[in-house]
Amino acid sequence: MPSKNKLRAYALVHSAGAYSAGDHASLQAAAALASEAGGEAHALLLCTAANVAPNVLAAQQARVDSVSVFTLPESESPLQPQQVADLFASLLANTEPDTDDAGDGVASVIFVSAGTIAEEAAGAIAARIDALPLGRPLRMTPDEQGILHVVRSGFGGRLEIAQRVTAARCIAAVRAPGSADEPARNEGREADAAVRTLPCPPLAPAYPVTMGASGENEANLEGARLIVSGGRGMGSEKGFELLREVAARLDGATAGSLPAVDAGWTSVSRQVGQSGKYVSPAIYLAVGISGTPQHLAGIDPHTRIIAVNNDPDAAIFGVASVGVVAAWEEFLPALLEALPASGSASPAS
Amino acid sequence: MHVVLMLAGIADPKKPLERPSSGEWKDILDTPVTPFKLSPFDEAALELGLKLRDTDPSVRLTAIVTHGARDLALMRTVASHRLDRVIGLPPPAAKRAEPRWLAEHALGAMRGEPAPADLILIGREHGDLDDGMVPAFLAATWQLPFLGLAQAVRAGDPDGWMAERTGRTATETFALSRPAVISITNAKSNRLRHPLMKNVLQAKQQKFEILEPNADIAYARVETVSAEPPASFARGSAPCEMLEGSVKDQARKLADLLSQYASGDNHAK
Repeated sequence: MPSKNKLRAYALVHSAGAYSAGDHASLQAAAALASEAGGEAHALLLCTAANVAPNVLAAQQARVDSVSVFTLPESESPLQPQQVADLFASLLANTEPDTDDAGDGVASVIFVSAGTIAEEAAGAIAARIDALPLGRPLRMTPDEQGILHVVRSGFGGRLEIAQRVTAARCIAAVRAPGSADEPARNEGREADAAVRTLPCPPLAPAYPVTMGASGENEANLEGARLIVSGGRGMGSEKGFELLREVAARLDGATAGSLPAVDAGWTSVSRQVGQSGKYVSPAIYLAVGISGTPQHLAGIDPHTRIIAVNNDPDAAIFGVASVGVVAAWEEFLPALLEALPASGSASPAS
Repeated sequence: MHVVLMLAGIADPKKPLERPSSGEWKDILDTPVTPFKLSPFDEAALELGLKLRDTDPSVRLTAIVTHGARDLALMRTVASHRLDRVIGLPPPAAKRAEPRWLAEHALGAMRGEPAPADLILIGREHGDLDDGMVPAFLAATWQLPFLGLAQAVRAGDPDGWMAERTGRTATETFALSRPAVISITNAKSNRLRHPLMKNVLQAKQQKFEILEPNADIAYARVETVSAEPPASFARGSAPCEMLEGSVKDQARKLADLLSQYASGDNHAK
């Protein structure tokens, strides 16, 4: 019977500006996996000086075994993904070798918190350190031999694919657990990780970039408690103007499905789904959205979906908790008429 | 100027996923039954390649089709845009989730071209198993500059590329040196055009070159053990409460519900 493989989990955290709990999802995932596998968890942080203390605290509270920090120079421009990848690859190069003192293999599982820049950087890090990119796994479990078993979503969310990973190094993006998820599994771990600060190596030059006007003056999707989203069934950009008005009345944000983005009715930065943003508002008001697995994959399972669709057989009604069968052209103006004036729906803060 | 398009078919999202004849869903990687289509991201990448050729007719366009390369209809769809060369590079089932294989053999395919690539365009997700890490992985493996999620690309001065994308707060235009890898996302401005009928007919006569690299496929860092459709969403287990009445009645009921949520009353039904 083969001896048990050893496992080392790394959490990569890049925090230069404002940060949220979602930025620390990698810490929770690394500590949980290490706890389950009886292995080690290490946090590797890229922070500006002002952000070192809270991020170190977050890492210690996640009960990792060690914290290594690169303190970034203050800059008006955020790091670009290839620069983030360079720095993390450099930090990872300073970590333990892939074998232990006895010469036995140690598998490294590297986590980043899900997000566009982090995931782009993760792909580049994987190439730099010869790690296997695993995308955004749904579940990761070590078996008794220490082999990692991963379940991934594939084929537009239509299949869950179970894989056995024997790579010496792999990298995955993880999301912050929802409020109703199991608590982090970091039992038996201490919150006293040693911290070492390393000199930050020189950054490679960033790609020159010119910023233009966005033309957008809407609430961010991230952190929105209520999202009003439109799909192919909206038929035109005109419907999205009404959706924006509904969202503004309710202090919410707007979003769209892939076909709506494709049609140019809303921006790609507001695309929700397997290929777009993952959102976890309390309410997701889906208008003219059929409810494909690809779209639903971008909505937290704990979010309450309210669906408006003129097709009573639309799949969205199978996952919605409240439904309205109506044409948006008639329904949205009536809804706007029934809603309180802008801002009065929420208590003053 | 030479532009390479890295394209991967995906199982047609408008058709139900068909179970392989073996009955085992995991065999879908080796013996796919559902026809392949280009993803909206790959269509956008193809369209941007065509736009570059519209601007400069001397642009050479090569497509390397990976997943779905044995699907003749998919290959013909790609070829119907009158590309200079369409190459198939189907990854073995054991390598479908291994971008290292793709990086090595796509580079080999590009080396067979008469001119080196100045630009490699790829959809933001490559095939049915990628969540978006593959394009950056390929660029880093090839040690080329990379920009993700671009919506437009044009030649820049003097020998670079200008790529535009929508950032969180503004549109961003990046300058990249040549050669570069740019991943493309969908937008209204890059929807794939319809091919000319004469080119569609020509593509039907075309024979496609399928590369089957004699690589060691026995060793894999990742092995697919099983695949199953996901269990039903927990949120779908309770029946949907349909709001009844006239449109005005429905709107009033929903407005009440939404207002309660907006005011922080999460117990609203």
